[in-house]
Amino acid sequence: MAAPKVAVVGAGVIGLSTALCITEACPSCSVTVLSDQFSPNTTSDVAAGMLIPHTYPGTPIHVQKQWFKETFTYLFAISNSAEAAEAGIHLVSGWQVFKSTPKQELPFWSDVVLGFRSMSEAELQKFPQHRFGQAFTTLKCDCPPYLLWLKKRLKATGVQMYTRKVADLWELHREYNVVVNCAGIGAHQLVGDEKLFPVRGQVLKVHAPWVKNFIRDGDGLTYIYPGIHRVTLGGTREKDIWNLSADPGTTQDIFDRCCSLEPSLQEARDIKVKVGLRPSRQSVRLQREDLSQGGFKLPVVHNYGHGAGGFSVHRGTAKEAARLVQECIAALKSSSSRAKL
Amino acid sequence: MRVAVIGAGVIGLSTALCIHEQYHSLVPSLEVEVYADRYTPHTTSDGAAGLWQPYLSDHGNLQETLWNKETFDFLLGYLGSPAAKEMGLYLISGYNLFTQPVPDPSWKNIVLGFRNLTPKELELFPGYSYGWFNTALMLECRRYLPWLTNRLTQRGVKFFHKKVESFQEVSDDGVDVVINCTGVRAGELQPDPELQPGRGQVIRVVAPWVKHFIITHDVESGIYKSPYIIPGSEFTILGGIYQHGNWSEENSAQDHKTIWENCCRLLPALQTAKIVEEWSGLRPARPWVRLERETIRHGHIQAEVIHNYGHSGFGITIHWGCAMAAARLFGSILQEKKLAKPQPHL
Repeated sequence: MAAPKVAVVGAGVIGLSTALCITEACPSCSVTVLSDQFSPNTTSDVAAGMLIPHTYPGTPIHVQKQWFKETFTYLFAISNSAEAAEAGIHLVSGWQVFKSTPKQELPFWSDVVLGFRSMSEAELQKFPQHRFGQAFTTLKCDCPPYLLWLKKRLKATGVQMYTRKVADLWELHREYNVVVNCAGIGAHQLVGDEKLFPVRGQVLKVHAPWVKNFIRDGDGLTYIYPGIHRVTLGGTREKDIWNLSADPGTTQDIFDRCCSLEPSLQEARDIKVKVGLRPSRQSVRLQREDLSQGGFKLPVVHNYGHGAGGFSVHRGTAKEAARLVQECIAALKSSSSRAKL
Repeated sequence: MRVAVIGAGVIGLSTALCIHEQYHSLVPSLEVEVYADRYTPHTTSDGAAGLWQPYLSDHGNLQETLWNKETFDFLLGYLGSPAAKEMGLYLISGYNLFTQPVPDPSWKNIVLGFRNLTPKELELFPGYSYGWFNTALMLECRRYLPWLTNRLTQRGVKFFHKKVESFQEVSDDGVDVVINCTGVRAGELQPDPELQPGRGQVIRVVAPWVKHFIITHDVESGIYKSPYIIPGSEFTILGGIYQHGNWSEENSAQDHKTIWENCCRLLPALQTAKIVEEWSGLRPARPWVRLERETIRHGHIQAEVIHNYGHSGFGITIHWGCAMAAARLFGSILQEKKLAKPQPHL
């Protein structure tokens, strides 16, 4: 086989980082990214990009931890480099506060983030409605900068990117040897995955540059994440809602909840409202599937269903997907050499 | 009862406010006036980044540590209020870095969440092997001084754009009490060999991805001679210059180079940051703050002076505690003049 041709469907953080990992693992591959949406119109662009993992009920914890650790380590190095600002990666410290003490006081990722510890009494005084809290330092990937930076790295390695709505993975079988499905919420239609469901999130992105620390309610519904230029205020978790239009009542509710955590947000200006559909699933679908029709084969690697935790595990799952792509290529090579006999 | 506050930096304005708040209802004739040749944004306070952080050691000066704590607690109380943004007040977390282990500072229990840095955190700062993390406060004087000015104006305090040449000039005019908040130039009103300029220079850049303060220390060289990076609400301040005895308020190209190279080494991403401003100022350096009364006599005229100057590089950090202490001294003057009954210490 000449340079194996790999198509990555999807150009959010999963698609672009997976494409990048494939070029790193397989320099001889020709990688093409196909997507109907690119930044700033992907689900990733709505997300705050905070590295605080979401727990997938169907994936073993040690696997999730490995994914998170790989992602954290990768981004940590970028945040420490001259490219940090361009890539949109920066450290941010803050607090996760709980109205009642959580069952599990130490999340699985507590030793991956920096300086994780329980909040002191003095720190908790700032949150009169909350009785317990954790302080730590983590990373934030601002979008669009991070996606733009990934695109730049991809272009530098010769990866082509095309706006194209893929209706069926099979339509790619003649042009490509391997297809990687990073379609996010789009996989619901693209591959008919009934186990994939949207969890609608509405957020506000506001101008409040004096907010330097993140604050998150442990219930995951209310959060304040300071980005490079804007602070993301959230949010909602509406299961099975596909509506992408901003709801004004929700906007007011988010604003009120965030102001009760951080009163100075009353002075926030230039409020922009965004909606995204978290591509949610019991477990991330990260596996091979060999499609075949009429004697033709198309190896597929699925990498979707990251729900609320896409940024937190993106690099770890991208690397695993790249490894699966290499497996596919190896299988193709061995079957084609068998065919030659 | 006329009170003249000389100096309109953070010390002058906060002392004026403290005195007026506490005594205007007790002394109906109280008139507070502020005299200064420089007002915000041209004071020394305006050039400071505004980070609340005392020096590493208080040299046993517990009084100053108490004033620092009073200031921190006072500001913390304003954090959740609607005034915070207008005051330029917000929480900020960050790092103090050392090349060797050092004792914990006197302020470790004043700030929030003080702890040592973990090995992984130290990986961020090659060349530094020890450090602290804590959450403190920022009080940006370019906002705080106008806020204080508004509060004073609302209270009827009058401002005069004037360089006062002597205490006598003011007392001859009928002022009963002079509050001397003249900072680095206090020596012009009364020689003070203990007071020296601690010249600093800073570069303000656009680097909104920086969310933490980073203060490095070179224990041998001394305070503020090692690079620091402090993110303001609009710009990030780069510094690391302290020149004792240097009166120049001109920006130095050599100092610019020192600051820029050292800070970029600390945070490589700063190389792409756009520079918007360069500023030099003179910290009013003194072995300890001069906060005391003095009676000045000239002929048959007597004036009470309260000195409140020499706050070195921690003026913002200590300002409210000193303002309260100055107000207490003012109270004792009132008692002596039988103008007010003794008040419980606030």
